[in-house]
Amino acid sequence: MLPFLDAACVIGPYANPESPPGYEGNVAGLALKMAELGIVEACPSSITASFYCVDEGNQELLQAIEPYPQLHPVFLVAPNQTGEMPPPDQLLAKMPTMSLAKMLVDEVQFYTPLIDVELYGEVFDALAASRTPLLLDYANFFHEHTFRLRELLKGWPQLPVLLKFPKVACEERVLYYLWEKFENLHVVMSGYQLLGGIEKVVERFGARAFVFGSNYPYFTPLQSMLHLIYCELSDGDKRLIAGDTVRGLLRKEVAA
Amino acid sequence: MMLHDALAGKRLDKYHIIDFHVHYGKWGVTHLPSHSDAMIAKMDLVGVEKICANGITFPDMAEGNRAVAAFAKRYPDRVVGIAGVYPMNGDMVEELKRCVFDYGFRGIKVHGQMIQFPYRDLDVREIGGQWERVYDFAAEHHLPILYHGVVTEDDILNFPETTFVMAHGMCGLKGRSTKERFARYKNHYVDSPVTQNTPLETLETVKIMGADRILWGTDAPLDDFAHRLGVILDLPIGEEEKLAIFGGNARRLLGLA
Repeated sequence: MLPFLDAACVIGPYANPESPPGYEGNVAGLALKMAELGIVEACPSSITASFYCVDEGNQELLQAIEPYPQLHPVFLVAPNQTGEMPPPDQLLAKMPTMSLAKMLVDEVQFYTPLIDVELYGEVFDALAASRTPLLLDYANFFHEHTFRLRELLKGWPQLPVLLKFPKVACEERVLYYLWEKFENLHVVMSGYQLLGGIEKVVERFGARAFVFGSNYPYFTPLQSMLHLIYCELSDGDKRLIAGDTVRGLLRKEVAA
Repeated sequence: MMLHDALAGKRLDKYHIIDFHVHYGKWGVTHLPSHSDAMIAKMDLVGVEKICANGITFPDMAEGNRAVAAFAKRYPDRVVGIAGVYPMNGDMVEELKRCVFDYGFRGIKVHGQMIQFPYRDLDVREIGGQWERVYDFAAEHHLPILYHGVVTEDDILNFPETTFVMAHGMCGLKGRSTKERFARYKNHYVDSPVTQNTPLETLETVKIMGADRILWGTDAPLDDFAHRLGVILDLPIGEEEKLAIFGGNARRLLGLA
């Protein structure tokens, strides 16, 4: 069994009684589903942080996952000009060592409508200095995002970026360009579902191009798990994608 | 158990999986195995027994049908031909006759938006008044119609002898009351390839429609065969229900042995 680490899942403080077991939307459900499918570790972020209050949500997440050593927190980050959350260096000081940062990029609502490298420069500086990986969670992924993403990847090459989006089809051409140019880009598998696509990408850019992330509880983690299990890749490449790449990033390991 | 076999990466041939929704052709992803025999190799990796392939991504439906026919002829045990028809490509029933009598196709695919710019806003139902003839032909020859757009609820009601399968309908019928309304039509089915398929909605569809009214599909090449297995395999339903969705229902609708 591959050592799966789910780099892209979310939990809330509630439980939906109508959902199938394991999809209630809370930390207990996540732990249940992980045990059932054999997922070793996961990095959940907080729905409260995404849609209610960044700071409260991040703290709530830390408390919720405390009994679960297999879970590593994903902290929402946002600009602090309004004073509603700590400056980036203070925010990072609150984060456990093995953490990811996350920006929810949504042009319609909430904190980050578009990646603006000037507006978020201090945040990127702080993350890059501490080598804290940044999960960019796009509500949609348009061509304009590519230009802005390029500025981020180019401006902060030491900042690992995990890119998550709902789903790509022909738009993946822009990803080939980004993979070719930037070593610090890792695409989350949940939105990349093309037939035979992963093999093509890994052949050209190596296994670092993808990381396993499920988009739980919106998707079953089993989708991307089986996608990887049945891929025509070496066992070593599969292990990297399943979790070892993100484990290395969480430990702040730097490639030689 | 199928789930355990899948997690172990075993070939799933013994479960007789049929993918009801596959596009043969380029469709803008020319670097992927969507228009060559490499698709068979991808099926073999997982153990997908058969795919129902349509050629509606070709600008000329007749050309797409010919390509699918040639593909199915090379792999008669693996590829079931599905006829694509579109009113801007000529008489649809004449094309269907060619597909069924000459090529041996077993189903029909209709899509409301396959010819894009400059006709993106065109209502294809208003072209040529041919749709009723298509539905009658389908009923007469027991051809299920996989539809994406075009077909209305009135069509389903008014052509009870015709079998309609709503593409992406597993989570495309939004809301419990909508699912319950469509569940009443015994000639109506849904298939499973949906991008935003939450486990909650997926399970709700199975409960309301019944597992015998759902067909597994991938929308390949826009999705990988293995990826789409997870949607059904992770449902808290019986193994028999899963096997019906994965192939039993398609076998029945297509008249396969």
